[in-house]
Amino acid sequence: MKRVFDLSIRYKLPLWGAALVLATTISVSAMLMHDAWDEMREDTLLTAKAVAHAVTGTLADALLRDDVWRAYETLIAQGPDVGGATPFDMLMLVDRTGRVFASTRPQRAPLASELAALGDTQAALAAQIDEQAGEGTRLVDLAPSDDLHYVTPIVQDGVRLGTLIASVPRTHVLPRFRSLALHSLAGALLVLCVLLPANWFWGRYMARPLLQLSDAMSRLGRRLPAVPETEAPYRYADEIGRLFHVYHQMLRELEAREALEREIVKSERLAAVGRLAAGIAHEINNPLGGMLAAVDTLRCHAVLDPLTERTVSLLERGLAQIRETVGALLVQSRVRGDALSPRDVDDVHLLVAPRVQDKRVRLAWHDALPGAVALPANLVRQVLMNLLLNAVEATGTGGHVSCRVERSPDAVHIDVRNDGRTLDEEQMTRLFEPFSPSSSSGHGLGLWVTYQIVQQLGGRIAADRVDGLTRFRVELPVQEMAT
Amino acid sequence: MDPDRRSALSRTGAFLWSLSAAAAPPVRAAEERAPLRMGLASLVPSERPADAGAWREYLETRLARRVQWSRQANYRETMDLLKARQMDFAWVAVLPYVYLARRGYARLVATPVHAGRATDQALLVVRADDESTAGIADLHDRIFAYSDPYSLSGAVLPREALRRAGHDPDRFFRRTFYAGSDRSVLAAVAAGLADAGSVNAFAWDALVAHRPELARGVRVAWRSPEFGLAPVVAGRAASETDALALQHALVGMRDDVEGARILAAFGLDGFVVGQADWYASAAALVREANEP
Repeated sequence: MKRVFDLSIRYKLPLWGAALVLATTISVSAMLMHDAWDEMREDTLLTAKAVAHAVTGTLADALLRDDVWRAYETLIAQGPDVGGATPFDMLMLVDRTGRVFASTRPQRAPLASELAALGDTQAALAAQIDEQAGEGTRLVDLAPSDDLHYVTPIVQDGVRLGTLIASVPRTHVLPRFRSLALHSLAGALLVLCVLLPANWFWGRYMARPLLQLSDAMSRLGRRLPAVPETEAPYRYADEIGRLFHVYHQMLRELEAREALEREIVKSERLAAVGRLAAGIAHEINNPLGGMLAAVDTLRCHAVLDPLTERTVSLLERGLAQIRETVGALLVQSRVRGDALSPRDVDDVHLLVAPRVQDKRVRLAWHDALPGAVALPANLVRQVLMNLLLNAVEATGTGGHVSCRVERSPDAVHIDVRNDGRTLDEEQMTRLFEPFSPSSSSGHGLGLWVTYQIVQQLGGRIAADRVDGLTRFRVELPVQEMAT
Repeated sequence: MDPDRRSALSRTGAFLWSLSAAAAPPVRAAEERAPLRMGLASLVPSERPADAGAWREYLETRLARRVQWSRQANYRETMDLLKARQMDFAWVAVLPYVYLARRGYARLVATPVHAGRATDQALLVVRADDESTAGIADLHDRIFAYSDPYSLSGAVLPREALRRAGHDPDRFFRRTFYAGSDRSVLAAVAAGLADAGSVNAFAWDALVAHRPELARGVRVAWRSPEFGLAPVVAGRAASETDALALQHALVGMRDDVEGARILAAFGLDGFVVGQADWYASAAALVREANEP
C-alpha cells in the first residue's frame, strides 16, 4: 500500500483526480438510475390511478346493473391490446363477494370464479383486498409473483361495490430502464473520455513546478548549483511560489556560508602555519644565538689566518642570513613602538624609489594621512613596503602602480594597485600562504608576513582584480584619533 | 299554448332531434311533409354507417320523402318508441315484432330474404376448441352469454330449450350476462369470457363474412328450428299509404342496381312482402314461455 503512496506526484495527482472523477461519475450515474427506476415504478402507479379514475364510474354502474359485458368492454379498452397505451397485462374486476366479475384474460380468471381459489398469489391478493380500506389505488407486491398488482376499490356513494385489479409484469419497466441505463452509460463514458485526459494534463501541469523544485533541491545535496536555475520561473504567489522563493533564498545563504567557510579554512590554515613557523623559528633562534656568539668570540679573541678568516666570515654571513630569514618568519607585535605618522609613509616612498626607477615603473602616490595614528609604525611600514615591492615586481618593466593611504574615522586604508601580470583563481586563493607559488622572486614570504601583521593588528587584507588591475586593500582599525 | 303542452312538445322535439342527430337528412325545400322516422335495432351485425347512410338516401329518393334514421341501443328501446308513436317504421327483431303485433302496436311491412330464405335460426355457439358440447343441456354450470333480453334467438329460445329439457334457466348456468348484441355475444365467446352463447344465423353469417378472425375462435354447436327473419314493421304512427310505399320500395330494391348493392352490403338478397304465419311458431313460443 505504501508503494502506491510512494509514487511520484506526476502520477499520484492525476490518479487521485481520475479516481475522484470516476467516483463522482459512478455515484451520480447510480443515483440517477436509482431515481429513474423509482420514477418508472411511480409512473406505473400513476397510470394505474389514472385508469382507475377513468373507469371507476362505468365499472360501478356495471356492477350495480350486473352488466358484465359493459365491464368487460371497459376493461378491454384499458388493457394491453390497445396499442400499448397502458402497460397492464391483465385487468380484472372483482365483485363484493370476491368473485371475478369481468376479466380481460378469462382463461386465467374465469367469470364467477372465486379469486382466492385461482392460485396462491390470487389468494394472497384476495386477502389484501379484504383488508384494504380507503379509496385510493394501492400497489400490492407479492414477492414471489412475477406481477405487480394495482388494486383500486370501486366505491359509489360510500358503498364498496367491487375491486379493480390491474396487473403488470414486474419487469415491464426493464426495457425502458435498460434503454435509459445504456444512455446513461454512454453519457458517462463520453464525460469520462473528456474529463480523464483533461485530468491527466491538469495533474501533470500541477506537478511540474513541484517536480522542478524537488529535483533542484535533491541536487543541492551533491553540489551547490553554480548558476541560478534557468528553467521557466514559477510566476504565481501561492504556496508553491513561496517554496521557490525560499529555495532561492536558501541557495544564496548556502553560497554565502560556503564562501565564509572557505575564508575560515583559509584563515585557519594560515594561522596554523603561522604558529608552526613561530615554533620552528624559536627552535632555530636559540642555537643560532649561540653560534653567532661563538663566531664573534672567534673573531674577537683569536688571530686567524687568511683561510680561517674567510671561512669564519662565510660562517658569519651564513648565520646572519639564517637569522634574517628566521626573523622575517617571526612577527613580533611590538605595539610599544612609535605611532604611525605621515613621515613613515614618506620614508617608505623613498625606500622603494630605487627599485621603481630600476624597473621604470610609473608610481602614482597619494598620501592622505592627516596626522599621527595609534598604530605601530614599523609594522605598518613593513606592510606598505611589502605590498609596494610586490606590486612593482608583478607589474613588470614600464608598468603602472598606484598607492593610496587614507584615514577614515575608525581605520587606516591602504590601496595598492598594479597592472601587468594577473593572477588566476588558484593563485588568488593561495596568495597569502607562505612560500606562495605566485611569487617569482624572493622567498615567497612577503605577503604571508603582511597577512600575519594585518591579522595581529585586527585588520583586514584582501586581494582582487578590478578594471584589469590587481588590487590589494588593507584596512587597519584605529581606536581613537591621535592628536 | 299552455306551458305543459309546450314543454311536452319541446321534449318530444328534443328527443326526435337526438334521434336524428346521427342521420340528419338534407332539407329539401320541396318536401313539407313530416319525415319518415325509421329505426334500426341493434340488429345489423356489421356496423357500417356508410351503408346505413346509403340506404337512407336510397329510400329518400324512392319515397320522395325525408327519412330520419335512428339506431337504438337495445330492442326494448325500439319497442317503446314504436309504441309511443315516436317512430313510424323499424327493422326489428322477431320477438319485438311478435310482442308488438300481439298487442296491435305494429304490423308487418316486409320480410328480408337471406341466403335464399326468409327464415332465421337460433345458433348455439361455443369456443372452437370445445368439441364436446352438442346442445344447451351440455352447458351445466358454465358461463352463458345472451344477446338482448328481448331477443328470440339470443335469450328466449335458449331459455325455453332449457325448460323443455327440464332445467331451470335461472339456475342452470353458473353465470349469465347480456352482451347486448349478437356481435358482442360472439366476441365474448371468442374471447373466452363466456363458454357459450346464442345468436341468430343472420348475425352469424354476417360475422363470418366481415370478421372471419372472430368466427375462427367460435363454432356452432346446435341450430334451432326455423322461424321468420327479422321484419320491417310499421308502427301505429305510420299511415297505410306510407307503409305501402315503403313496402313497395323495399321489395323493389332487388331490381335496382343501387338497391341491390345496398342489400348486398347488409347480407340480404332482398325483401318480400311479409306473411304473418311465418312468425306463428315464434308467437307460439312466446306465448308458451310467457316472456317477457
